[in-house]
Amino acid sequence: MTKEGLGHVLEVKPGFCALLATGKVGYKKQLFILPDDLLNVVKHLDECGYALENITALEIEEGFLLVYHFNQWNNGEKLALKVLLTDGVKEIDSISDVYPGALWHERECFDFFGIVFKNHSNLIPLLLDPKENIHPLLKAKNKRQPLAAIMPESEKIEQYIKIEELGK
Amino acid sequence: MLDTTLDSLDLRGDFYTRNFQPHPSENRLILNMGPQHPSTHGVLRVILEIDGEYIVRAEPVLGYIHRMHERMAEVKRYEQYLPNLGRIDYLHALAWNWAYVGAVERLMGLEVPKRAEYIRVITCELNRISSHLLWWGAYLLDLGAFTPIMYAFADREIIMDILQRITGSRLTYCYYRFGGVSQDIDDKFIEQTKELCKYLRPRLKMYKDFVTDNIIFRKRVEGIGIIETEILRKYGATGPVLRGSGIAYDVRKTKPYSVYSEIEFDVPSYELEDAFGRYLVRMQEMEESLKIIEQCLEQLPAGDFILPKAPKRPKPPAGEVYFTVEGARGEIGVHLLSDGSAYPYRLKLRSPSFSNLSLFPEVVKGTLLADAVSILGSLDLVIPEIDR
Repeated sequence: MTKEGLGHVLEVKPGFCALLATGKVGYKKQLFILPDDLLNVVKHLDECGYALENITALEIEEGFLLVYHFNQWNNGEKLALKVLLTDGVKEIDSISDVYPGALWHERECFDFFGIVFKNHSNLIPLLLDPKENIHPLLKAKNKRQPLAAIMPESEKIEQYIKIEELGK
Repeated sequence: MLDTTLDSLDLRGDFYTRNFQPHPSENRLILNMGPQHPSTHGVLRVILEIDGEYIVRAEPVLGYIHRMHERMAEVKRYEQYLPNLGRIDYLHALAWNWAYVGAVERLMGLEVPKRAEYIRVITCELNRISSHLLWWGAYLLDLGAFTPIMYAFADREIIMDILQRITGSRLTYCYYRFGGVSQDIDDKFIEQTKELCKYLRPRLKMYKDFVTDNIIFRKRVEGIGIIETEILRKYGATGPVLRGSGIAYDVRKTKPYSVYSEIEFDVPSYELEDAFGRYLVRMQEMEESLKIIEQCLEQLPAGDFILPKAPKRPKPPAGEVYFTVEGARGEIGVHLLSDGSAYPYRLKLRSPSFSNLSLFPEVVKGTLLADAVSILGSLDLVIPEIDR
């Protein structure tokens, strides 16, 4: 069952992940999840033995897209978690309790975009001047692109899977 | 008498010292190591809370050489951004070159000619050796041995001369292009590189006799800075830091890109988990790189050094790509999103030193101050790469 178009990522139900086709992107798997499920999914990945590789964000028309890259050492297969923050929300749970390596990555996202990570132990600027309150990677309104424009048709929802069944 | 509550005089420290709250105790001292400390190799600052000679807590402060490369990518055309890559990690510039052009090539579906792939492997490995040599010299300088850096620089000089003829620069290379490299290698380059391989092997043997087997050196690295697998995983460490703890993860081997799958080489790893393990990995990696270079020179096919119809000013189709390569310090990742225009929509640079340094506070807890210098050196940090 393949669903066309990325509008469907908004239809993900709590407790489920939307598994996207990967195409030539370079991931083994990529998943869309709801912001509220983030901690659960990350805890599950931790149990499966994934290593945290990278956290990044970008601004799009719908809001912010956060991308978490995970990696497995034995086969180098990467997994990307994508979380969409819509309706002007600029807050998300910090995953630093599970992966302390996220502390710096999250501070960097806070620097560049002003995204606030809840329960982060020390959310202060990492790279930018603490006196200046600027977020250099925010885009002007006319420069923002919709999600479907930067992740086009090739990336369709293949199936919805339960968080507990992720490791399989 | 001075009023110590005055903020304007900054007597209570700066923003970061104010945000670094010491534990309540009389015998603790806050010490700033850097940003101009000789052993931090660049402008890294570490705030340390010390109890006597022991470190209670450490926190690196970054950003002194931050240039916002990711923003620069969004305001420059794809080809205009190429020179930036050599300036992110100045020691292994070609690996960053490769990560970026590789990402764009995958997005556009460009097929790189075989000869160009081999040239890339040869030059990238030469660059890796020069990077490891500099680390080796500088690390021993941190530990109090002055002479090795002189030997390391003498060897590095030869590699830089070889690469200069081909790439046009000595340090901040910008050699790879979308679909190949900017210039073909010639017979003289092949000759010089073969000579270099012959010359370096006995030198590496000599370094082993002089330094690796030296008791004074061993006392500074053995059992110092133990990093367990669990910490490596949670902080996303890669490269020699990971392999020094016994995990043989190397992108060139685990997920081969380019022509690495056609070349025979080993991925050295040691289960020592200490600074000595990380040292041994890098020393052996130089020999593996020599092996790779010699094989590539032997197998070097004829053909184009760049795809003839490769666009000079690319306009990749809209889409996302994540491409990683193995740099001297670990896994270098380029996450690129394109909206179909001539400018990247968003470019994220995943630097290995960033993740490797982030585990430093965890490792350094409870060690001696002098050991912190040894641990910092064993991580092989390049600050411009962390700050970007």
